[in-house]
Amino acid sequence: MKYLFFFAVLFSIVVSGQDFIKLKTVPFDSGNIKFYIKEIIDDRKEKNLGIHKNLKGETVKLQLFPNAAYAVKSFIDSSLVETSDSQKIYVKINALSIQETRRNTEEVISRATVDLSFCEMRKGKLKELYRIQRNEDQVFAASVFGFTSIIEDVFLSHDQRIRAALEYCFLAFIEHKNSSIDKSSTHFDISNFDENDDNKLNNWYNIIEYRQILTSTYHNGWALGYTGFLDDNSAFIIPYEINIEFYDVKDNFARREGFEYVDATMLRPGIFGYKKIISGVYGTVGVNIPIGVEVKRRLGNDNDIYKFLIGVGASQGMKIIPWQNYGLVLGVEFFQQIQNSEIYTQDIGLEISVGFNF
Amino acid sequence: MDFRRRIIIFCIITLGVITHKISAQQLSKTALLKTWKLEKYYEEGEYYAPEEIEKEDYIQFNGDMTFTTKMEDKTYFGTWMLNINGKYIELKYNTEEVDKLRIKCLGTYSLVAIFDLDYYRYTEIHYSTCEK
Repeated sequence: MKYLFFFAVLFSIVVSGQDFIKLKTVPFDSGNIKFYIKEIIDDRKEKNLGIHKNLKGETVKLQLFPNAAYAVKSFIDSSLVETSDSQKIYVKINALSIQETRRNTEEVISRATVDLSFCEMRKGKLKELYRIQRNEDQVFAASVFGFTSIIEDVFLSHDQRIRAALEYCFLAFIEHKNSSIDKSSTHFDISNFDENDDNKLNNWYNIIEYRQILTSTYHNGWALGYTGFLDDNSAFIIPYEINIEFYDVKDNFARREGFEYVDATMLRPGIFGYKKIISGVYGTVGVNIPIGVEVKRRLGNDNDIYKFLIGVGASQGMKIIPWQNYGLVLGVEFFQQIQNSEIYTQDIGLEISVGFNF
Repeated sequence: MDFRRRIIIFCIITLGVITHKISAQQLSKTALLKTWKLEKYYEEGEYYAPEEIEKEDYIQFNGDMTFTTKMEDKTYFGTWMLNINGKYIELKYNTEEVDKLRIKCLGTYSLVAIFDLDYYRYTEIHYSTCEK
């Protein structure tokens, strides 16, 4: 804990509603260059790194200390030395932000994004010479309910990912300038941004749901389930799902078949797929293998009869998630299944669900 | 504590600091310009020897920022860059594919790194060299 406190004090200065990240000035090998950075211009609309949770768990606006232009200039001046005959370069910050999200049930990803324009002054106006966009991604191992255990690792390494992205951009510009002179081969890419428009990491949803059979040929019952999935605007989404179901056969049907009651407790491993229709609305399909135990008792008999149940199921439906971060989740699903029960071998029905995402 | 014991403790600490400085080198391009041979893997607290097909694996970083690497009997070429702040080497193959090799530790004769790729991210690769 004392180390956590030490690092928290060292790298961030907490101000009400906002937190600052201090960039360390670790010099990098810039080689032989004939320019220096005259000025850094912060051209972002929102002059912060984004809204994030700090080490105290508070949601705050994160910023570079004391501001982005000063922090980047200090960082870069430790590697690029001004000489009297060197060219003056102006750097515009088009984007500078950080993000983090879960990427699967085992890992969290954090990203620093930098978009810079290298310019020179011509007749009092800035002329862009080179533009580069860089994401620095880092993956951390963390189980679904274990994000808090690595939040310090993620938070305290934002600084390093920003420095790495800045170093990449400046080395790329140096290579760009040198290759235009000696026509040497180039290594650096001008962008590794995601192909989607906003370069945003997809959101991870954790959903706990209560499901209730609304109508079915043979069943009454309910189920509890967990669903985790990484959002995607275009691709087919494969969620992680686990449900435990408490279904029983309708009383009148059980009695007609000579049973006092018939219950079933089942797990339903399977493959499910979501397709985003519009923001917050998903079409869902699934095939699954219901596995469980059927417990039934014949009329006039005191002994329970146990039977191992296995079958094949399918479902089609819709899920509505109006709020991305926290809130209500609604769903509706048609289902069909066949199984090895002696009393009924197939069933169709409609199920509704209500839950919350977190 | 008598004076002689203090001197001995001081010498041990000083020697320890010097040894650490020698074994853990500063991250730099020149410190990487060698041929690094695959020695072993480390995962979940255990070391593993390379498979038979990986025994000749190596990676060679050249001063002109090109590299050659042999992986499972196949040889690949490309360009590389060192990101000191990110503590990684970016390998760009001739096929335009890019790998990120995160450096855990760099010594005069040893390099411990991790390929930042799904399924490989939690395995340390230990390379060694005879070159100074």
